[in-house]
Amino acid sequence: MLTSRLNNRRNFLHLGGLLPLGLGLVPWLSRRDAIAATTSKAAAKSCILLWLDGGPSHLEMWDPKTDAPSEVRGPFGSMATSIPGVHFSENLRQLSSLAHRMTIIRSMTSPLGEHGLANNYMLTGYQPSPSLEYPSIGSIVGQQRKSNRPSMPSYIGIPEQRIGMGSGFLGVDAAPFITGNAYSGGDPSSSTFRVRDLDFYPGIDSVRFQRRRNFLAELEGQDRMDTGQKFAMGLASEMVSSPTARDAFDLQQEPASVRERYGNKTFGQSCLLARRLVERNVPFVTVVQTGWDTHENLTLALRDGYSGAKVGVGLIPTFDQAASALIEDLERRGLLQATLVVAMGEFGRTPKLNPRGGRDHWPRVFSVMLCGGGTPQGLVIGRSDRVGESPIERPVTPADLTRTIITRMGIDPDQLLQTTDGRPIPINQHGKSISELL
Amino acid sequence: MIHSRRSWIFCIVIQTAAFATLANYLDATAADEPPVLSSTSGVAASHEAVFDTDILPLLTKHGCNSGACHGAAVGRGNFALSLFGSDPDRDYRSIVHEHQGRRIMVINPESSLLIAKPTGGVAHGGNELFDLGSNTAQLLIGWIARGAPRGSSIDVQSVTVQQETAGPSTIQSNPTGDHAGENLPDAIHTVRLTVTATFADGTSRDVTELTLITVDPSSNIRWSPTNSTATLTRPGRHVMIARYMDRVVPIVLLRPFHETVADAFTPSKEHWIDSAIEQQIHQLGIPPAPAAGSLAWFRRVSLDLTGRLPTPDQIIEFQNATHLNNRELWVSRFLSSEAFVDYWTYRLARLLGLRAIASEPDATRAFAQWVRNAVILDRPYPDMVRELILSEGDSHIFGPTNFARLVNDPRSHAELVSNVFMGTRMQCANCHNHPFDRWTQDDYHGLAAVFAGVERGRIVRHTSRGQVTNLRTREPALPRIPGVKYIESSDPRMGTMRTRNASQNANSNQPSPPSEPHSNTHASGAGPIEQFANWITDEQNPLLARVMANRLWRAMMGRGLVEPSDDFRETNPPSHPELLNRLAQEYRDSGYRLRPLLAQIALSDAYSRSSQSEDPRVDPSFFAVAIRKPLPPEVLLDAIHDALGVEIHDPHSGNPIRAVRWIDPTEPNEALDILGRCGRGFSCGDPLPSKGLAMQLHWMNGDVVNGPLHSGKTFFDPWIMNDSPSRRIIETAYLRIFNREPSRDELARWESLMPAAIPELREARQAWVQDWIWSMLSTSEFQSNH
Repeated sequence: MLTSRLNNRRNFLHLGGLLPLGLGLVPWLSRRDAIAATTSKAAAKSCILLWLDGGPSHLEMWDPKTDAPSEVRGPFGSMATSIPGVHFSENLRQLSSLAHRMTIIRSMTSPLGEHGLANNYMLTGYQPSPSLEYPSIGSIVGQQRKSNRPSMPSYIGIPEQRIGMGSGFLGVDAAPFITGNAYSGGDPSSSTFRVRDLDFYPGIDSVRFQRRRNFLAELEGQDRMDTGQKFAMGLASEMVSSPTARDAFDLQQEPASVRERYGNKTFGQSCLLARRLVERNVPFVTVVQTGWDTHENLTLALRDGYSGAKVGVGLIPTFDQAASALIEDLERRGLLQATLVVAMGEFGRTPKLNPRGGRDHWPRVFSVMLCGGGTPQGLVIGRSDRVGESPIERPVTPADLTRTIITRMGIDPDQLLQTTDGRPIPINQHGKSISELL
Repeated sequence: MIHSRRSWIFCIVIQTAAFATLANYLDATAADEPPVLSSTSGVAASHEAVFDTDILPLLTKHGCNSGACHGAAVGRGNFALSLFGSDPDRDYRSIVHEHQGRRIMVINPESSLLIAKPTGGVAHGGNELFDLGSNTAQLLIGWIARGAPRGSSIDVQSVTVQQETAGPSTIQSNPTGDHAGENLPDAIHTVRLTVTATFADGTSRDVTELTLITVDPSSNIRWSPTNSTATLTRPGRHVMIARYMDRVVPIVLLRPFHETVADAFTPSKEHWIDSAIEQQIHQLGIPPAPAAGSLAWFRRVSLDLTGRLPTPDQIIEFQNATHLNNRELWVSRFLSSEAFVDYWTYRLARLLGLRAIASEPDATRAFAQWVRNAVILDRPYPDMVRELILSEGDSHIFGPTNFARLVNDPRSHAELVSNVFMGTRMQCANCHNHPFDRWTQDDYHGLAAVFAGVERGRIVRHTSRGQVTNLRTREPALPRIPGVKYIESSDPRMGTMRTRNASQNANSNQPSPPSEPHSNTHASGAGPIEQFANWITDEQNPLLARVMANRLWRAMMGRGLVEPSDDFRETNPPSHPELLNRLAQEYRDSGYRLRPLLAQIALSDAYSRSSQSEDPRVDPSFFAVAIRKPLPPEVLLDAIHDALGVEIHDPHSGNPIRAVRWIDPTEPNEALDILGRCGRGFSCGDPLPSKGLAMQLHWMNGDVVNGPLHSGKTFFDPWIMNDSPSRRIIETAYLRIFNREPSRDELARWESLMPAAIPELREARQAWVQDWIWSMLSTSEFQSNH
């Protein structure tokens, strides 16, 4: 704890020293007009957050350093993308050809290098505090976009919940609806996948179910239930009794070719489920891919998946296949303009490989990908230095990013939220919007 | 280095009631005209501004040294100040000497960065804060022109806030009915305040212009800094915070709900709790809710004392009793029951943060058994606290040693101890002096240093090894009783105590903790841990009793007098200061035991009020109406089973068990997790059930209710099979679930709907009753304690 704090402080000073120089402001200013045409004023309707839990390596994904010494470069090469002059890691084969649809931020920076703290910062926009649990952006968007008589939850997590994804002081009715839980799998790639408690209890049918609701309404009187509970009860009933939720979660309705295109892993099928959910106007969906905390053997973890694999099925190929399928699919269905897709984790990885052929935690610089939802197409924001150690142009903090996502979703980031004890907390306090994205 | 400012006497808090203090106001101001505040006359004319008492407070007032600006740990734009001016030496150096002296220019004060930046003359990341012609700028310029004198550093002894003006006569002449207050123009709910500081040399002066007044944006106060007036935009009790130098003073303002002139309050009740509560209700002009019906009271007290619904037999016995002291008898029956022991063991375990240590079930069992024994014997709380703090030995055998094992390091230990026993949140003081409280970094790291030598293995030991670094000094922290004194010792087991400060707290609402253990049983030679335990459990130290009495009040009443109950600080004043003092005194006088104070509360009128609120605007903190308390998850699970007459079975042994006896919150239990039981965190005084979507879906479609309901073993299943009359089923269900009789209408309604009692309809009838009872169990009437 002590050392991490000291480091944080040093990092901060380091960055502070760079800012007044205004390094590299010129290139992005000149590009600004060029991208204005593709940036939409309209707010995004939905957001799909691809949460790469554990901290994905920026060097093996969006910001490869092919000219750097081998201990920095790592085991993989790079490849050209559909943006001239911009390279991704060679394992992002399919996403490279979609780069002209994306914005890549290569200058994300944070002082927090511990998973729990960093998750909180990236997902809430606030550095964690022991006295207050902040709500995730999913909870904020879900709460702000809640419709009056919904048939679907407004914030869904697939398939599990990670630290920082919760609703914090906003309380249970802003919490994500998680498709799986500790007691039942909820893995969309399983042939027996189903979301728990969406089916009637044995012996109960829709007639009895309706009778229960009617009795309850009569017993409870008009205004006795608290609003949060009333809302959850109404929504839960709607989810059980209307076909919308059942359909949304029923991946069997997808043609085999589509399911294959997303890949048969949990993450691929989760992305497909996310698409089905935004089609039904769910405002915020977080898809979690775990395992990105790659402290050893990058080749095995990131590319191969198992030793001796002929075709890589590791984290990056799985991500590449699913994310590219999602972007293409959203576009084909005309949903991309209204759906913001964000891929990020809690931090990057150390520039130098460690002795075990892995990389350790590195929050000082890392990358984030955004696509759709009216964001610019084919833009790279910021730059890391020659070895991917520090941002040298336009540092962007997690608070900046969350503020931008919130704004992109048509929500005023300065709006005040209420804690349970009545403290007013702005949705975003310490961030500055990334102007190119708005 | 020890900062001399730690030794200041604590501030005086004046509660300023906007209208209720009319008489006082007239007395206080009859002689003098209130000083005019819109010029600098109060500050500049009579007194030459110096750094510590004028300039620094002014910077605080304008937010320059707040955490978001130059008060951040690393400063802003290469200019760093201490947070809220806590380190004047450093700040003076930084302003006057650093940055090549460009921050102040004596020859040409207006070009000083200190002036040019905030007035917009030079680009400023924090924008333009005041203009050149403002009093603030002129005061700064004058100070610089005089050579930016540091002046002699002087301590402030007290800060008082007084009400200068109000429009009470307007109210008196305009009583237009019950709700008059709502329609009156805001102007008459405006009070002008003056802030007066008294310094160590005995002088005092008006520092209103130098005081930062913070108003919570969500509160219903409009504060106008230019003429120092507060306008109460809604009725109720409102708090603002005044900050001058290192003093932080809460200002409490009351605006009545009904402004008909009330007669002087004469307590009609003999119970001391009621006179305190009713006095404030009277001041605010709120009609208290009527008394709850006797069965509502019975259900409430049964749930609060035993965590169980009253059984039909108990209800009938209670109803049929004719003696006058029926309620007293039942309270003492509940207090001496096994169920009380179960429930309060569970509550105490949650409060102490009891949870399993991985793969050491013996340790958990020993700890849980120790808590249970303490509840059975109603051990004096200070004895328990001493054992929790001081115990060494085998944690598998001696329960309280496990308290030290709930945390992994001395800082967390300090946070746990301050949170549980002192009711404070010291965490902020890890990295900087607490901005809203009196805790300093030296306090925080000093308390951590007290626990530096604790070994937390299976055998808990207090050693002289181990060190904590004070993040402020970067040196090993000295063990310290927070806010009081250092404990000087080379060997923690053989230390002597050195008093840094004798006079602690002059505030009548926050009685002073003793600076020295006054009893000579605390022999010198005690180590820091023992000295801390002596201090926290000293009879003269009101803290332990206040914090616990507040928690017991909260358990019964649904809300603490200090809320949140682990956030005792100067700037979070109790809603009823006198009542809290009295509760703490009663608790202490009855030997720091649970049962006597709980009985006192249970038998008060305040506890017995109806929960049906007539006025939705009335804040629950007034206790004019009983607060509905959701049943904690464990209690709810037990209540479902009790109401249905079905047993819960322990998944391991298969024996019947009650959910409140699963006191280890880390033991997997799907039903309790779905109901939202308290997780693995620190003390969890008040577990609330989840009402989220997943819980609702599970409630409707999962096992938690449907499992026991469809088990075929409920109280009603045999009656279906023998075609018992509908009336019997309905009346029993009401008694078991709502703990009352159905009204005539209710009875008639459900009787008319229930399928007839004939063998051919048994299946339909069972389904109907299941559905109806599911609905009863889903109501807030069942799921809350009201």
